[in-house]
Amino acid sequence: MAENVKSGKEILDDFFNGIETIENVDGDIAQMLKRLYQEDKLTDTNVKNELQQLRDGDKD
Amino acid sequence: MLKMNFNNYEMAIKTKINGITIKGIRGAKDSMELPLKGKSIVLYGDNGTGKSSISDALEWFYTNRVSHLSSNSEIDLKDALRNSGLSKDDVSEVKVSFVKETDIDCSKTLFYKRDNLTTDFSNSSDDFKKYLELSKEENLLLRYQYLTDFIDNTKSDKLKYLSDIIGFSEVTKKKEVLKKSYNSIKTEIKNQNFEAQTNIQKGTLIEKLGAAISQEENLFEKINEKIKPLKTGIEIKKFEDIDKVLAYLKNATNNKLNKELAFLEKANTVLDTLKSEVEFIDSEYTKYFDEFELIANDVESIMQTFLGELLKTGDTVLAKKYHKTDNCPLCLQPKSIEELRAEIAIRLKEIEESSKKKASFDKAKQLVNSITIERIKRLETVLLDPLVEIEESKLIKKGFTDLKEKITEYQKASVERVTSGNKIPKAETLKLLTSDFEFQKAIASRIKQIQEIFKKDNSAVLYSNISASKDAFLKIKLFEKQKAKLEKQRKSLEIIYNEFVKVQKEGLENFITNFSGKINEYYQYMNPDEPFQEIKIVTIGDEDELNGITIEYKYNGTWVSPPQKYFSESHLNCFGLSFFLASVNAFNDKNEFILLDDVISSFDSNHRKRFAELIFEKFSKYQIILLTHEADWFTNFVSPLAKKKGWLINEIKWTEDKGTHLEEEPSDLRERIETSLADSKIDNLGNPIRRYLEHSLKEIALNIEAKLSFQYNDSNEHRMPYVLIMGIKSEIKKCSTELKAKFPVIDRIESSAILGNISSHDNPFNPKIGDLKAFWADILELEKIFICEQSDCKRPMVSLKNYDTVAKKIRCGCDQTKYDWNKK
Repeated sequence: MAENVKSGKEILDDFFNGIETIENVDGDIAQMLKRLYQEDKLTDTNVKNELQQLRDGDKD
Repeated sequence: MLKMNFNNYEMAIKTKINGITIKGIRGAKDSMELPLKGKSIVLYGDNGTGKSSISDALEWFYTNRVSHLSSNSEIDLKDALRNSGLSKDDVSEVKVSFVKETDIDCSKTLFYKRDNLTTDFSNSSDDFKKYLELSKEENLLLRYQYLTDFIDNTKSDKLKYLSDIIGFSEVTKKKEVLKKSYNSIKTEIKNQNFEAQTNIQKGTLIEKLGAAISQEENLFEKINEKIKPLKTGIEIKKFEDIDKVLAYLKNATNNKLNKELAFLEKANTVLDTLKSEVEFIDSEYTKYFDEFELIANDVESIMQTFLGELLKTGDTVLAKKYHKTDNCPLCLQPKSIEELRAEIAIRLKEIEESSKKKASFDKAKQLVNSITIERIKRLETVLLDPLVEIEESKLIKKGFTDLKEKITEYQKASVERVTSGNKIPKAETLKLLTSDFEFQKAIASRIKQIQEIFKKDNSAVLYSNISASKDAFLKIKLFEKQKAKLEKQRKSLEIIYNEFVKVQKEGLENFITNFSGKINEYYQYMNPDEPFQEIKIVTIGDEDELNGITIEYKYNGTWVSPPQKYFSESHLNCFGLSFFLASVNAFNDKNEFILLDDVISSFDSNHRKRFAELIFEKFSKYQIILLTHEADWFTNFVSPLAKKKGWLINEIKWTEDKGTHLEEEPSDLRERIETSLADSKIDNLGNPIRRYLEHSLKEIALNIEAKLSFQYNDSNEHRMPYVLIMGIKSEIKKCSTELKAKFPVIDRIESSAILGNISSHDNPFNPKIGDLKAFWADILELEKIFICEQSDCKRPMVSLKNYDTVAKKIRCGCDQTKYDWNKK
């Protein structure tokens, strides 16, 4: 099998490691998703709560 | 799963088997040893000799199951694994040792403990546990009857099978999280209904200041205009200045009335907003009501989703031919298997549609729920105000309480379980009516009343207007900010989700392309110049929703799917074999051995030949354990090729006494004969000596190219020693004077009474020990003539392969043992 074939985990690791470099994506959201993924806490409820906190904390 | 939990050290060592010992398992009664030392082996065994005991033992060792036994609920696996000739005290055992990894050598035993069959591993180390865990996920064994497993799966099961192996199910789960997060933001934007809320506040600005203001400076300018005649000495340049003006005006006016007016205006705004949303709420509820009715009227189909798993399992049972008679395996009603599978496919399709319906219903339900919760919250901002408790607010309190109750009815409907059997109210019974807002007239009238009072007091009017305008302006700005924040999050999540889908699809397609390439390569290798070209597996589904995998190929230039359409059984098996080998190539990271149990039974001789070549060429780095009952293929094709490649070759036999066992190697046979002669244990020694002599004579005949009469394969293999001796003597007579001089030894063997009596394979003749010793000594002397005794001779057999064309000598590889030889 060719070297460039990635396993599911490798795809996830690579995606979340590089999520902050995706163009036009809010840095705070990218960081939040990356953190939740790395802590193995990436669930829709956790993301929803974190998004609310980001909106509440954003004073601009 | 691919290389997830293993550290680098463990992954670096590729595992090969040093030896397998099976005792008391399936056909093997006594201990059956397979000393491999990391080498590949081809094992021939007639049907019924129990060669699958080896595959059963290995499968049980690694997975704790034996697929062809575990799938039948009537079979007790542990009981079926034990050799039927064992007593209760006997221990069944599979022992596997590994090359260079002795720390994971292990014996798995099966024995009776308090009347129960119990399993135990001799190795309890973490390294072994990790190894075993990893090995469970690898493709180590293929049997003929499971060749078409992948093809027989449904499209979605095919996707699941591959997804699970490469860890894509986890990717799909993460994609769902991102999708749900994105949808929750979209729902929140819709729920807030910013446009309606903003329009109400804009209305207040127009009413109080006579203009729809959107910029701060315009607001300040308008208020400055209004307060100019009062000569307050304050010029509004910022919001704090507005507070100064309000404080100035407050001193000059009736504070109690101002507070009441502010309260009334707040109540009025909430009512105006709600009134403007009556149609919005009604339309979202109507959508929910329709979805609810649709599903409630067809609860059966929702209930059916729970049957999905059962139906899928049923289909697997039929696809894998566990149930072969033409009736339903559950109710036993007569029906053809094809018909049954077609019906299951339809029902599964219906269930899939039900699941989609339910997802749409859940979305509508969630939206109504969040809309109603938000509106109740807004009504409560008035109901929680202290002024709602004063006598003058009695009517307002009742009006708001009634509205809250009506919205609560909406909310209750939004949490009703669709499978409860309860109906939810129709939209028209819940819809807010003009009469529900009747009490607002009293609020308007009281506002007017206060304003009349204020008219007599310009300061009071100004206070009220400026205060309301400021609040309205700030609310508009707040809504704009909230909306902008939500939109920003929505946009980011949309980009992230799309990017994720792209990466997932690329990853899967990249894998599938490579995987397909390998399958096609192996398939084409075994089937050159056939009309089935470019065999590949392809994904099915929308841009962001993969829902299956199918197999396609080009048949005479046209794409065909599924493969069963034109493939014969042999082609399907060939695909299954290619799929397995591609899986080995792709997924076996730890183990570098595979066991293939009778996998070519449905192939014609040409495909069998190609398969063997494929294994020897493309899988040379793997240790292969190849089991077959195809005698011709084994004798005429695989064995010669295997011998060249340094494989081990052996035969599996079965006797009532020993059960399944291996044919002994000549070296082992010689050791046994000599030990028996030394110990004077000569019972039944005739046959081993005959087999040894036969082997020696065959080697001599082969190397001097003795001419023997033509015989078909089996007959050729079983030539009697006498026929071989005749052929050898005849060739020597023609070509070598020196070797002719050695005839007395050959003649002694030929004329021995022992040879005459043991020449039959199953002869029960038992000669005396002295005769046997003498006969054995003659055989060894014969060997000495044809085998060089120099310890460093690399090719000790005297052979025409080493023929000296100048000196005209037949010789060994080191030239020490040689005889004249005139080639005729």
